[in-house]
Amino acid sequence: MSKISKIALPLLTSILVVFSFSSPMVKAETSELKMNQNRQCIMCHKKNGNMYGLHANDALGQTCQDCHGDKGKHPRGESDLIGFSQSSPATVEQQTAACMSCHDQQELSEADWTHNVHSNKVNCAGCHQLHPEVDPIIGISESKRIASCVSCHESK
Amino acid sequence: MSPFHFDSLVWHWPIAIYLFLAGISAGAICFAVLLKHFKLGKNAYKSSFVRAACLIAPLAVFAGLGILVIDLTKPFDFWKILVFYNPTSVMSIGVAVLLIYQVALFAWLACLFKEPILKWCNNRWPVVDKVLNAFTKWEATITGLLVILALGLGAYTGFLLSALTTFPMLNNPVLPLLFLISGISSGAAGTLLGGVLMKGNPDGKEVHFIHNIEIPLILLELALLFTFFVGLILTGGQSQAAALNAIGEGFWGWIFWGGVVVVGLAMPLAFNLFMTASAKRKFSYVAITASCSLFGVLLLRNFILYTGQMTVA
Amino acid sequence: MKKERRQFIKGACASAFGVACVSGLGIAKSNAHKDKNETNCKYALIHDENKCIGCDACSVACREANDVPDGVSRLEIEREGPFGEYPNQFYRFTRKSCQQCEGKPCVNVCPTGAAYHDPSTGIVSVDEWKCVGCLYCIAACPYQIRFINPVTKAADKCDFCKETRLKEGRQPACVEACPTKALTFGDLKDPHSQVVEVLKATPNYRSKTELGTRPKVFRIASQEGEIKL
Repeated sequence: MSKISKIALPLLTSILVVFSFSSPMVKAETSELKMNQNRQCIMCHKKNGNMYGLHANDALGQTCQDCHGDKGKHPRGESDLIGFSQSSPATVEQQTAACMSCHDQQELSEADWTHNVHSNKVNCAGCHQLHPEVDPIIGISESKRIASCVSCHESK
Repeated sequence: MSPFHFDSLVWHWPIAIYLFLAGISAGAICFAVLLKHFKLGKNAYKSSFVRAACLIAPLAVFAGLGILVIDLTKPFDFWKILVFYNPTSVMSIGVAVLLIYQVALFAWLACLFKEPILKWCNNRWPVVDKVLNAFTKWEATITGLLVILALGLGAYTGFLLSALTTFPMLNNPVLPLLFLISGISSGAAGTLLGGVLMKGNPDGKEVHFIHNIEIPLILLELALLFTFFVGLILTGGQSQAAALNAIGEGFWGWIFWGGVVVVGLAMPLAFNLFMTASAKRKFSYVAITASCSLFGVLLLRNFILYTGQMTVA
Repeated sequence: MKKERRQFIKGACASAFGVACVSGLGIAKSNAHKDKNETNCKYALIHDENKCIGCDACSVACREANDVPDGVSRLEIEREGPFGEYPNQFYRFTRKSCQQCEGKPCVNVCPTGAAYHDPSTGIVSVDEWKCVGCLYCIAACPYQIRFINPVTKAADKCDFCKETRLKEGRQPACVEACPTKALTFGDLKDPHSQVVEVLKATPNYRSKTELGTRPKVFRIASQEGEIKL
């Protein structure tokens, strides 16, 4: 074998290997994430149930019920399911507790001081959205950030 | 806290150098005047020590002003300081004193060097003769004015900082006196060092005269330094915090105890006493003593400027 | 004989210098008195630290209105905290900006008169053109709110939007921007102005008054927060 093929062969194979792994991964980010193959939930919640954000990452191995709670007899009977929003029947504390089962308060405090003063007053979904690919609060412009403060705090 | 970079720092080392140079100029010319009037008389201009003082005084003032102008954020607008005055501003009054001081300084130098100047002119320009004769007629006035302005300039370097209520350590009534005395002693050291470098006799009567004044000056400076810090500590509050922070452990504490107190004051005092007792003065003794003293004064200016700005009221 | 004359002249010089100093001080004093009587309008600002939420709407509005370059600011909200136990935590916010002192340490030290006290509004301002950048005012301000504007190279600071919003007949940018109405602006000399009403009705404080600054920025102390000894 020539010297060139000695170097080129492993190089080519490695490139191929990388590509073969990366291409399905790109796809997975959109619809083939394991979480979205959860037929039990997605069958009904097709429209807003799909999850594309960081939390859907296969490596995390999360399921819908990890955050939303036990399915119980849903949709026919009673269940402990909670929704994350202002209009959710779940209290702010309940909603926050679901997130805090993984997230550390100290870390959140260091990431942004406003976590400390809102945790028992505003639900996390008031500022964060986990279903879209990118949480819209991340990297928000200064003026938009202020606008979001003003949207609650404005006194007439 | 880094010794040279902290949030409350406004004025950096160029200001300390400016304060040092203004002080040494004032001190040197005071000694030139004293030497002429009490020791040397008409032939004062022949003495290397007087010549050194007469070189140091104008050069230090020019260099100081140059540093001050370069340190402005708008150096080309410096003329506005000379045109607009504010009677409540120490800096404004200081600039006025500095200007008149320079006029008096050159008038006095003209009187001092009258003979060599006239010799050099050799009657080529009769105006020079006239001007110099007029100066000589008013020499007593010029001398009086010059000494007062020099003392004013020395004190101004302290008032400039003591006007700042922001910083309790600088806003201290002893500071102008301390800077005046240390400025005069730096003038003495500058005169001695310059004099021996210009081949002056290290055992001459000028050296004896200056050393006799230097010893009480150093003692006075030590007393003032003591009063300065004890006063701050007894005031309590932020003044106390500032003083303890300055002379306590840390970079500036070392500078103060090692540089200002030991090298700048104790060593020159010991050398001076030794030289007075042994009555033997050599070039190296005089030069080393004067260098220590100059170094100490320069460190004192930097030390006060930096540590003073560390603690805010 | 000659020596006597010399001493006489020296004495004369000393006394002349002394007289000059005294007259200088006299001028200074008379100036101070003039300011006190001439002004019939004195703008003041109240920052209610209870209402402030630390959203920075004020400082962003200030930067836009007054064209303040990045890296420096005329107005900042300083945040202290968190105090208390999670999840019942809170912060304290204090306004860092020119206090519009009547004692005006910056004006007193300015060698050229670039820092001046406007007699018709009581506002302390900077004449950009006259400023040479000696930094004396920056060192003299006990609140440390002055800075060198990197564009103009002159000292700069809050002037209650005197050159921008007040000229348009509006309130200062920070006051208009505040979502919680934590800022109140008005004329202290007008007995019916909102500032006077709030100051009469609410306990308030000012910062570092012991230095003789007599600031015109008043603060309503946060009810929550740490008790400091």
